[in-house]
Amino acid sequence: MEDRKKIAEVKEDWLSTDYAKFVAKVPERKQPFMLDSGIEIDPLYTPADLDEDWSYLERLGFPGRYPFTRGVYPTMYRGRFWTMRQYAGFGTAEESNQRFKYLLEQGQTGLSVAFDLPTQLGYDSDHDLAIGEVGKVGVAIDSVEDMHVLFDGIPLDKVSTSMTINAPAAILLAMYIVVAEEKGIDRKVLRGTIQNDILKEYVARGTYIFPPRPSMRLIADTIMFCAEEVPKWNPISISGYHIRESGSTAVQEIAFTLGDAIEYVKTVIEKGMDVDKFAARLSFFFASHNNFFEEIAKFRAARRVWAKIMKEKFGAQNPKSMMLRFHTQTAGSTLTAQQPLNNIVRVAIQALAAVIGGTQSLHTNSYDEALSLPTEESVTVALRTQQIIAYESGVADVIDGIGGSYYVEKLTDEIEKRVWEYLDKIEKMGGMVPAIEEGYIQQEITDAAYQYYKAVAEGEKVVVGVNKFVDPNEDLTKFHLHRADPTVREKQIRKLKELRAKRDNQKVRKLLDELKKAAEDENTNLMPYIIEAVRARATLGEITDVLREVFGEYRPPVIF
Amino acid sequence: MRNKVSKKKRLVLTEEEVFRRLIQGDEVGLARALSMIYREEATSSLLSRIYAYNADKKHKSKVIGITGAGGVGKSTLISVLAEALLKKGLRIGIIAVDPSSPKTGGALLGDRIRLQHLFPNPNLFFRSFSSRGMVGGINPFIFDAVAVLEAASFDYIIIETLGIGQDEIDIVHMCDLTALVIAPGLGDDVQFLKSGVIELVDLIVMNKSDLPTASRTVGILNSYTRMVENHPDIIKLSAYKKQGIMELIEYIDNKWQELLDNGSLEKRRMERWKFQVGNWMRYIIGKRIHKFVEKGEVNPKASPYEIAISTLKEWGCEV
Amino acid sequence: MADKVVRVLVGKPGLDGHDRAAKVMARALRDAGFEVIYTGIRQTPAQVAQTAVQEDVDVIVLNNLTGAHLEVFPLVVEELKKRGRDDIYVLATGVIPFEDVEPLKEKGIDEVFGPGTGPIHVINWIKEHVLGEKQGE
Repeated sequence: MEDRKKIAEVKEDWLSTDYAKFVAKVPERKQPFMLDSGIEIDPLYTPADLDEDWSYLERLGFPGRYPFTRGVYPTMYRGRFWTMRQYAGFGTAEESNQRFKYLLEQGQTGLSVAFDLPTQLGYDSDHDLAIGEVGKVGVAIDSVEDMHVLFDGIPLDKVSTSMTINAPAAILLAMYIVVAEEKGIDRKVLRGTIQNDILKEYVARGTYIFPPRPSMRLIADTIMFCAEEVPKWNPISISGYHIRESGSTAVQEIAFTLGDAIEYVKTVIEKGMDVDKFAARLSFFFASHNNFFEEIAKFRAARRVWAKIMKEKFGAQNPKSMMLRFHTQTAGSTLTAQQPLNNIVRVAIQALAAVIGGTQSLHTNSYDEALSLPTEESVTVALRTQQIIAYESGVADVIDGIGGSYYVEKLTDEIEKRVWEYLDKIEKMGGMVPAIEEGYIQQEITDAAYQYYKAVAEGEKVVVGVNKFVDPNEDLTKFHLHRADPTVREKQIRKLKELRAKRDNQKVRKLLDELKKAAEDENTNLMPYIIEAVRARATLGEITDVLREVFGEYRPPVIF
Repeated sequence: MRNKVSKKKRLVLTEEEVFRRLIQGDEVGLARALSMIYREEATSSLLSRIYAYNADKKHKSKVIGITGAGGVGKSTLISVLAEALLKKGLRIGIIAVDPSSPKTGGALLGDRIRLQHLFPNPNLFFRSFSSRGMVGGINPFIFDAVAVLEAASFDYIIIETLGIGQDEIDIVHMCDLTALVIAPGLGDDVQFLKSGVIELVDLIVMNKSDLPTASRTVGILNSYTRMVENHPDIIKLSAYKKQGIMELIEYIDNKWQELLDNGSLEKRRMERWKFQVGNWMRYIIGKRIHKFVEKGEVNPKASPYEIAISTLKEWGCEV
Repeated sequence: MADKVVRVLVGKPGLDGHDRAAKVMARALRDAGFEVIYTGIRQTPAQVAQTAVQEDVDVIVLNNLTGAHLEVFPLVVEELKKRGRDDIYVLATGVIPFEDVEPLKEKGIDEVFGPGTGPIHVINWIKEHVLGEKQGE
């Protein structure tokens, strides 16, 4: 390679002559060019722009090897494409079951379940707070009976199932296990993921129930239970997606997600489990946003930082413990209601960044999601987008095809540096839990969100079709919207009544009492108790109520 | 364009209706009375009726001030305190004051978020105010707001203010009893101790006392309070864990009764009244001064003191 | 001057926990010079209504992103009515498809700001209808 110094000299010369002259004639569009993360973009990157001690072997290495910058597997997509996994689920379990079967027929390779808000918050459909919400943003699950319907005819020993469930994740996992066992499938072969990431709920997504400390205990219980009993299951998907969607920058997305992850690892280690016994099953979930290079660099930086954390901070020995495996969803907040077909293009660019960034699975948004739940047609286009990237674009044929781009390498380093700065600050505050309790994280995200809003409102940031290239004749009323069945709640209430009449209520009461006692003792793993309660047909709401009684409910600090 | 007719007929209440509904404890009337006073509509006549009514009334509300720096858990404390009082079947009125933007006049009032889970509840009233319009010190409006809540016969009236400085001192004049909330390990503690508030409050509430660093902070606190005559008592509790709340209520009730029995309460309330007269005078003159200064011509050669004296004389003030 | 203060309640009825839009709305309204009270997430219609009454607001800006608006927003109006304060303006924001606009208006929502609108549209509406009214008084 040429001498760094020489390159720097020539670059300096180029900047002051050719470049400067040109700028004098045609000024640049922006002054300066900035990423939302606050990183200034130079006009051009060269080998001389990388750190002086930049080392290929140390910073990049090889795929499947520490620090995993270029990817977690040795062959990446040359062996198998990423899992194409579309988030779906609405209305009753029957309807969602139909949609799952449709998606599997279309070539989708994994299931992803969305639950309605009452389910996510541990309320049965007959609870007062469930009015207007049952079956709205996902499927309503009140008991294991609903879960049976949801997975009817689906081979649970063959598919992998991802469930977006957090505060009551332990209960939904218990239901999945019971359904499998009642179908004669061993829990040891079950594959899938529960999101189970409560910390980001406090800062971004809002579906928390209990205060942080007992919530952390529940998470540790599921992680430890899975390590022993459901070894192929990912007991947590530590999610930056919602942090990003609530308005954070790319750097904040990674920093706060890894901060959360550190907290989970610490908690389980403190409970006495060896880091290498569970860390390989931790999985992550990020957003893929608009800025193509920034997003790719973000994914690469995340892998490198996580590998270092696991190796250096937690002393992991097993390379698998150091691998950051992640799911990606294209950023829903970038979708526009105006000129919705443009969203197909946005999604394609974001999906491309995720693939080049080395994602393990991907959800592509449907173009009509800014308006309501997607239709079958729009879901299909979204899936086809992934298939085009996989089969036609050629990007999957080489590992980390963008690696070595001076810009991307520089960005990867910059993002990593800023992530470490945040992580150090959080550590000084005593970790993520205190940082959240004091509202620091929420304030950082809210400020970034407001900055972004202002930049768009003032036209400094262009959103095509919204604040530029607006179609004055656009008719926003022409859309077909999928509507959740308004009678879902009544149906669920009827099913609940039948269930309560049919089951052995004395047994349910007894098992719930036992669960309560177990919850009062911090050192008892709650999973076996929850599974037994679920098996006896205790409802989600009943089980959550027991835990609410023992743990209390979380009240957020006031942050704007 | 501005006079575009709106299709809604907005609720307009006469002073008579507001007063009548207020003393019946009706929320709409109470809320409107506070708005009218805040907007300086009907300030004199409505307030005259309210003060006269309160003076003759047998039922006395317990007016409790709660102050402390940000991050000590004031809002959480007020929320668990209110919850416990509601369980006893009592009626509680709460006022919280937040700063407003000096630039736009806008304000974000978020103090009630911590209590929202206690609503809906006919026995709980919460009103958020911005510090808008204050010209140095506390807006006299807040004092009068207390009188309005008294007229609605709440059992407890709780006033929450934030920050260090004048507000803390003034809140003491506003309330029957004032509690300073502190928490372990916060740098602001020492500031508080130095600000002299400690000599004025009736009690210090040590929140988050379950934290390991709490005993050290209590130690520091004791060394300060020992130097103060009639120093305030210290109550340790954890609002988050709901520990020590009943003890706090018991303390407040006993202390209030003691003040009532030995006549201090009456004296404090007289002082409060006098202080409020001064408040209004400062506020009214302050506004006039503000207007004068804003519009006044600049003459760098003249002494500002001379200008002040001659202007005040012009206004008929003895100086 | 103080009598021109417009008080706005930003309310989040329903179980939707995504509060970015509501918080951005609250801050934008504040920067427009209004006094803004925010309820926080997961409010029942009764909680929103009682808050509006106690705070004596001029306008309520409701936000919901989960499709519960058609059931939940009219309940807020009902609760206001029960408390004798259905004269307070109620604005609906969030993911609200066009076909829901008329049904919402029929049930007492004064204006609907669906996809493709932002805080600026709400601010302008309030300036025109509420501030205009106050200045016309």
